[in-house]
Amino acid sequence: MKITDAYWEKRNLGITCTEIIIENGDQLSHLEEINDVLECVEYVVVKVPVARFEMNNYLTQKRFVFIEGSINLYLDLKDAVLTTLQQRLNGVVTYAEMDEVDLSQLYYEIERGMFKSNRILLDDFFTEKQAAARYINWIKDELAKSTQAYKMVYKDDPIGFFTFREVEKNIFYPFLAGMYKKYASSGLGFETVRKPIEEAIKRGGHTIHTYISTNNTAVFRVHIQQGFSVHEMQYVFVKHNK
Amino acid sequence: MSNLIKYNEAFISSFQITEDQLANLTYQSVQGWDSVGHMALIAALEESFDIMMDTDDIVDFSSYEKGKAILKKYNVTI
Repeated sequence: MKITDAYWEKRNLGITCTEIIIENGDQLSHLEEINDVLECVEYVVVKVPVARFEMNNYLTQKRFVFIEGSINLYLDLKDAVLTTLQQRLNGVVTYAEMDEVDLSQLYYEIERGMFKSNRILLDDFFTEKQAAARYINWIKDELAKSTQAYKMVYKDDPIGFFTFREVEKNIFYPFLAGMYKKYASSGLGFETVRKPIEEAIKRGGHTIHTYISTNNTAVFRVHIQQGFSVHEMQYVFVKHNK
Repeated sequence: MSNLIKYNEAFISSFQITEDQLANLTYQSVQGWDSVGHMALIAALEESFDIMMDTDDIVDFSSYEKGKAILKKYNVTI
């Protein structure tokens, strides 16, 4: 079991937060032992491997609420696929690393509701403004480290973005991507998956992995359609103590 | 088979919906019309009407009604 003081959520959401990841070897007794810890913070997030029903039941009894499934997907880059039609469209969409002006546009797009299925926005305890601030702070934190952000462009118009980080040698993690409002209904959403693949291939990579929420079936479908496979899944429970 | 039947069938088979859902249908108004579904729809329409749509038209194809206007450019009257 991993217990993390998610101190960054104090800045993002204005509350104390602890995140707990239950691992396959953990027993229910381990979770019972940290009950006191769970009551000390305002917001608790617990991630449970699938098929651990005793954990699910225990958390439900403790008034935790199931909020999403988290699916870890991976792609061996040699297995990446596009349909003929997607290839045609992909040829007219380019991407480039973002500058400060591009990032300002990205933050504006996030503030106007770019992400609609995240667990913060879906939680009645939080506001759209908090959810947006959390994403923006997350991106800023990552850019201050070794992450890059890229814009995707169709006919000189930015249509969306993706982030990109090498987590291990030749293994890449595009942890966040999305389409701007003007192009949200364009059918070009597949590019949020395809362009990171192209960047990974360009850098000599062999694998991409990412996490998606079961609350967003469109994103799940577009990953599977381009060749991703499921690596593992977790159930995510949350609880507000105050 | 009339153009309307072929047009409707492309939506019905691409999104796994019924005919009564077609009126007022827009992108993301049903679960099947996402990016993957959009590609399936356009591919089905191109095959049914033996056309190749411009990228701008594929990007603009955001509703059942709008699609009818777009197909007119390719001499397909619904």
